[in-house]
Amino acid sequence: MTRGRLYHWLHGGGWSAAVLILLSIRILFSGETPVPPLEYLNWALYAVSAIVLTHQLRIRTRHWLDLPFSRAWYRYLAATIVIGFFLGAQVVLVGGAWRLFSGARFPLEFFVSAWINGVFLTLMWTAIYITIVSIRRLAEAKTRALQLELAAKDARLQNLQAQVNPHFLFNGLNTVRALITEEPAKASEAVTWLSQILRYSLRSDATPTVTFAEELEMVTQYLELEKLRFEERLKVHIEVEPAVMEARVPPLLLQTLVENAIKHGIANLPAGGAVIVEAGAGHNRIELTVRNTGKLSNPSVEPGIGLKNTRERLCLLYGTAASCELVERNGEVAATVILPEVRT
Amino acid sequence: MKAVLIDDERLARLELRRLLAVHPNVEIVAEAANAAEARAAIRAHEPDLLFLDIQMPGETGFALLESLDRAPLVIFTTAYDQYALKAFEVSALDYIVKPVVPARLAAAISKLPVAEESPRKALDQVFVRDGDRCWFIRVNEIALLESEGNYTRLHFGKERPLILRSLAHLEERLDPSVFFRASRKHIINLGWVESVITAVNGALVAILKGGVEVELSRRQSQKFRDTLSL
Repeated sequence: MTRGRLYHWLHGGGWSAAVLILLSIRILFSGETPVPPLEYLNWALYAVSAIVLTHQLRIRTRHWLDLPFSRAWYRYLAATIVIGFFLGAQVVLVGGAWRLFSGARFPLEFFVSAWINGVFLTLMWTAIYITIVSIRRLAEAKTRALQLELAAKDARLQNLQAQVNPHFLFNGLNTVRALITEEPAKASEAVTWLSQILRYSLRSDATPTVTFAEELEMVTQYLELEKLRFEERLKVHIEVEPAVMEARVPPLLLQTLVENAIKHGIANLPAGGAVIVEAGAGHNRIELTVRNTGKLSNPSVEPGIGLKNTRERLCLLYGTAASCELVERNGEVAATVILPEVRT
Repeated sequence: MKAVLIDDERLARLELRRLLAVHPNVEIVAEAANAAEARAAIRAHEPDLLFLDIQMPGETGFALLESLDRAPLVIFTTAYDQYALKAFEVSALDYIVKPVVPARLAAAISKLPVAEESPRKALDQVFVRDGDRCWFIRVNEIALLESEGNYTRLHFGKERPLILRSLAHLEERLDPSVFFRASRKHIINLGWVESVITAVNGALVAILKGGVEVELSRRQSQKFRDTLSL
């Protein structure tokens, strides 16, 4: 059953049952027998009014559900009392008018109890309604929290996979194998680079930040390895202000940008191109820029996993104080990250 | 067997060349670093076999194959790449991963069909890609080519891939003694025609193996009668 239909069944059925019970009590325990036939009509009218009014309450006060309890309870109480009084008043007016004209007895206690019943039943309705809605919202919030947690786990996993990029790893190993016969000394050096990169990648999730100098060393080794692969197709320039060296940055931040520059830039250009790494500091901020020859792929395509991860990590670590932009200008793609400057 | 090595990394080609040294039946006639160089080498040497890297700058290995009128035998080489591996999964094409294991290379070479003279002539296959899926198709296994605007739908086996080539363009490359232009929309493989009936309007309807019916245009019906009747 859908949520809307369930509500209508409970709402209509609940009120009808309540009124039937009241009517039964009235028939069984009041001395007035038989019950005057027009009074049945009064009770039916009572049920219809109650159903319509509390339904209106639900529709018109939906936004109250979002208020904190301290600001919501007296609104509900007031609305409930107003509706309850109206229901009681209706019973009194309809019943009273008929009795006045027909000259029947005017049982005062019956009308007083009608008022009390009106307020009491409406209060019950509101209590049940708010309880059901709250339980449902609680369950929904729980589901949402679970989904969020799952998404976070997913992101962490993807991050881990991205850290040791298997494509890079296997291409690197292939290069090294070719070098073993061609240039054994280079091959030995390349194995050292590869192992340094792996060690750094595997260890990087243990620390939230590293010094820029550590990160740069790893990036330099990575670029040396890629230069072996791409040969004359890859040119590298690195320009870093000494002031940045001791600043703290998230591990693999620069690495991700450089890897993207190679993967989406240089690797797609038959003639190759340049990767330029620049880092500067000022105004308590660090600015890292990685530029590469090439074009941005179709801007409608969503940014790659590397860039998305970088943004998420920056947001988690620095909130709005950090930013990551990717732009194309003058035949170059430039990725710029701005971080607040933190020193050891 | 004449082979061309296609990989954008010189060291990767060097390594493969070293590994192929123990296979005297594979003769490396050329190397290429990208799709354009590869096309020139294929034109110049008409190789029987390509060792082809998927990830290359500019055009991928798949795009290169699609651009060829006739595809030689291909052994794909790839480093770990989830997208390339997916293409192989859905298409059941054979590939070897880099760094190449010598035994795996030997197995791939031994699986190649060996023809008396040049396997390329005997093979006569084309490479077709539709979305994630790709196939090597023997040309004579294509029963029907159906025009859909600038695209053409191929009918072979149970597959119906749609390729970005016009029917007119394909007609020029097909052997006219095997493939017959049935109408503006259809080219049929005469080897797949099971029977021919005459429709009410006098035009012919070719019934292909598998039950597909293709109506011949009036003009082509006449041509069909002229060229194929005894």
